[in-house]
Amino acid sequence: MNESATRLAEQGVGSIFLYTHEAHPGENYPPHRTMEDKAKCAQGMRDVYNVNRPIYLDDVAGALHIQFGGMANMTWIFNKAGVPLYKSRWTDAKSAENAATYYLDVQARRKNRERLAPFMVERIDYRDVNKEKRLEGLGRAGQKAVDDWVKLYEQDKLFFKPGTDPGA
Amino acid sequence: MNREEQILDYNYNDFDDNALGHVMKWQGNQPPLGKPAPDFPLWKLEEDGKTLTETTLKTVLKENPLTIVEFGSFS
Repeated sequence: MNESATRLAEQGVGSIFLYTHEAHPGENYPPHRTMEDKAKCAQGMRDVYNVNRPIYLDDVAGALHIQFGGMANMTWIFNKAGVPLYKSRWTDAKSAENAATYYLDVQARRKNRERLAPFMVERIDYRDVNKEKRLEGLGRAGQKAVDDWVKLYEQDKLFFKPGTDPGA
Repeated sequence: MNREEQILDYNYNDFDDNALGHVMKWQGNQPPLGKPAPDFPLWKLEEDGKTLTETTLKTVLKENPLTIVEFGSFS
């Protein structure tokens, strides 16, 4: 998402990272009990993954995260008035950039006084799946994070399947 | 649940069926698209990695015509 955020920033699109709970707690990144715990983990993520976007922390009890769906790595896009326009249960840079580019075009058309009405659309997008890379990332959090993930992976409970929920 | 119980419930120890079905509720009572979302407090992690500056979601969203919000964590 870093590269995408940089490209979109040139067009006036903001990007932030909203730090939630540890979805896969491990020995190195254990469950948070305080905001200080959360800040320490967030800084670790910024250092290791070179996150170039402003990082904001949700409350330690996850009030915002839970309200918006609680998924481990979801993305939402909002307009300036705080209206959500797009939500994705998983983060994918191409999907989010595609949507943001579309909404920029809508805003430009409105400035040109085109008469536009909103409508709902549903779609399936696709993301990269790389098990080795995923395990490498979880390994940084700790062996427990790996073991918990593998357990559910082997039970085939980790990926969205049409018609089922919650999936991840 | 009291505050302490909420913190323990949300920050679970194990990524398991409970986490999948209890915390991750995509089809829950989310704010609808197209209508102003409720506001929430947020804390900006400053560059020193320790200082937290309190703000709100709406305040952050006002800074740009569009804002992409990625939710996640280290793990």
